[in-house]
Amino acid sequence: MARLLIRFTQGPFSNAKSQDGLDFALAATNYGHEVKVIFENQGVLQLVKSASIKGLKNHTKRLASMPFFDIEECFVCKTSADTYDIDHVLANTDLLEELECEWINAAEKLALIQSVDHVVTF
Amino acid sequence: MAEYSILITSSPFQGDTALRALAFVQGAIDNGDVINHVFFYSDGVYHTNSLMLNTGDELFALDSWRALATAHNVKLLVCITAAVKRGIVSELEAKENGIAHANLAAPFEQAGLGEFFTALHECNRLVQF
Repeated sequence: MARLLIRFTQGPFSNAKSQDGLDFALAATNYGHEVKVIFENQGVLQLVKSASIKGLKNHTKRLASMPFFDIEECFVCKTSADTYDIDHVLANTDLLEELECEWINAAEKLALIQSVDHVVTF
Repeated sequence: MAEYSILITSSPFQGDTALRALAFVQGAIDNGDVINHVFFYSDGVYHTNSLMLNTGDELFALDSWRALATAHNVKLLVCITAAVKRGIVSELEAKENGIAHANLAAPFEQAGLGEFFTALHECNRLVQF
C-alpha cells in the first residue's frame, strides 16, 4: 500500500486535468492505496459549485463522491483561496462540508507532503 | 536500489518535459535502479501516437521511447481510456469501430489505471513528468 497525495491545481473546466486527476484518485483507493487530496492554486476553483450542463460531467457531484471511495482527507490551500478571493464564494457551497475539507497554510502543506509516499499533480 | 514507477501526464510538445523524463529514466537505469514501468496517462498518451512525424529540429520523443524499450526492456504502458478519447487506437478498437487505421505505436501496451496501481505496490518511488 502506498500513501498518495493528489494535488488538484487546475480550474475545473480549463483543461482535462481536473477530470483526469479525479479519475486517478478514485481508481487508486480501489487498488489498496491510501489517498489524500489537496486543492491549491487554480484548483480551489474546483470547489465552487458548478451547474449541471448537458454534455459536461458535473464536477461538483463527482468530487462529492470521493468519501464513497474512502478518500476522507481533503485539504484546501488557504493562500490560494485568498489569491483568488473566493472565500465568500466557498462559504456558500456545502461541498467543503461534505468532503470535510481542512484549510491549511504553507507550513502545514509541507508537513502533509512529508506524510505521504508519493505526490501526483493534476 | 530503488524501483521506480514513472507517470507521464504531459504531452510530447510540453516544453522540456519529455527530454527530462527520458533523461531521468536513462539515468535511473545507468544508476542500477529498476524502472518497473512507464505509464502514460492524461495528455501523456499523445506520446504513443504513431502518426507523428519527426520535424528534425527538436527531440522526437517517440524514437527515444522505442530505443529505451529495445535497449533496456522498459515496459511502456498507456491508459486505454485516456488514449481512445484522444484518438489513439489499437488494431482492435479500429476494427471494432470501423476506423480505417490503428495508430497506437509499438511497443506501447494498452493498460488501465488498475494495472498501474497494482504495479505501484512493487515500487518505492513514483516520479511524474
